[in-house]
Amino acid sequence: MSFEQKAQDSLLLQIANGQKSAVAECVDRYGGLVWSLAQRLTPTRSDAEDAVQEVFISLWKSASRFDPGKASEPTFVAMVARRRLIDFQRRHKKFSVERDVPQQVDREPEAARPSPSDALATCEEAAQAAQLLRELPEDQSQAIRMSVYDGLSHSQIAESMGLPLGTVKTHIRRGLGKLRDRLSTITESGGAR
Amino acid sequence: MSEQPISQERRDDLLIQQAVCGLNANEKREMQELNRQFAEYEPSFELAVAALDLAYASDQASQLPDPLRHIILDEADQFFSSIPTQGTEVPPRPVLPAKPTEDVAPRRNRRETWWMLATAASLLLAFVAWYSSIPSPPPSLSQKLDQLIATPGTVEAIWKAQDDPAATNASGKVVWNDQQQRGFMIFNGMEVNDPNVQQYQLWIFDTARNDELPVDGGVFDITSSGEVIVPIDAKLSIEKAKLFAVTVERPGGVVRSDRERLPLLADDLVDTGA
Repeated sequence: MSFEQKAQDSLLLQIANGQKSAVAECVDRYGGLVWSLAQRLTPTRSDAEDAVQEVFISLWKSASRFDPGKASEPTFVAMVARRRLIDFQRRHKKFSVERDVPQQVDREPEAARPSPSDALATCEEAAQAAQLLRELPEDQSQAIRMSVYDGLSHSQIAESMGLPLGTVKTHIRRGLGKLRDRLSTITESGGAR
Repeated sequence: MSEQPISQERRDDLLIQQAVCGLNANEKREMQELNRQFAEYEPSFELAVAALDLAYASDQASQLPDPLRHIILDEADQFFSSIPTQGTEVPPRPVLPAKPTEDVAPRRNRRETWWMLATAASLLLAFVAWYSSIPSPPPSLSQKLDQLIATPGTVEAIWKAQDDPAATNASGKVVWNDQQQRGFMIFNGMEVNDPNVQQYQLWIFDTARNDELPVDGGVFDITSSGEVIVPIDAKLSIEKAKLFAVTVERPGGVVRSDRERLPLLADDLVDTGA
């Protein structure tokens, strides 16, 4: 897809250009993504509801800053959402490290699970991330999941996995470093969708 | 993979932490120091973390709850309607023709002279039309308040100070008209706020809405300990107001208040008798 086509298809850029009709579509396309993130990164449902509202206000404000040449629109939304959720948590002083260490959860896709929105399913960055998690050594993959998905501190991960703290940090650094390199290749080749 | 110096690893750890859960003030300072040590730019891990978030979300069937979706769309309406529309046309200021002087104005033929006269006349007409269209000075807030109080259907309620330092010496009232969707807050002795630190925000409780979701009545500042009149800026239509509350919030206000600081309430609404 050409840069021009990506820019034309971007709901955020349509919103930035004053097309209010794109707002509802944007909420429908990315609502699930933001809601999923908020539920993971805030301690209560009420906090998640408040945080999601802040995320969308932030998205309206930053819509014009979306650059299809740097990342896909879903990735940009996820970046803005996590930033705002971090701010939200810090303001409310309930950061997720206070949560109990969760039980291990198998996050492999289930055949019967309803399919996600097309926008996320076809996002190449998401596909690369999922692929990399499958390729990484189990300890690296698990450490990344516990850090990024469960919001656990490195110490909590070390305790949970029974590994030295330095090893956990190395696992996460190496794993995310590989993903970052892989994504930069996509972006450089204009493949972000 | 080649071994990295310790401080470079530390910088990566901080970059990762920044992308995953943010940095505290000490960590930010430490990263600034490490960035100075390493002139080479190190891209952030935000994109990688966002891709992982996407992978997770695409593996789920998470859907925004419908009531929350409606709130977000309402807020989007408010947000975009608060942005001034671009391209508001301001009538161009008419330019009167300069008086020609002997030195620079040679004799003109009759056609030129008629053209100039016609132009001058049309410009003069435009000027008159423009001048007469200039509205008289708008009424002051105090005059607008008086007008609203004299309007049938207007209600008012005295502010009741709550246990908050901002309202220790505060008094005043709120005036509101459901039909006109207009109102004012009058304050006396309310604590002056520093807009860079915190702002006041009004919340309107509507009989037609859930009390958990009062309508945002606007963010405002108290600039004087004397009388201050503030127009109400209701973000949504109010069917029948039943209670007004002022909270103290961060600059810019919030979408939903935690009501941690609530200096003033007004709930005994009475008709102004207009």
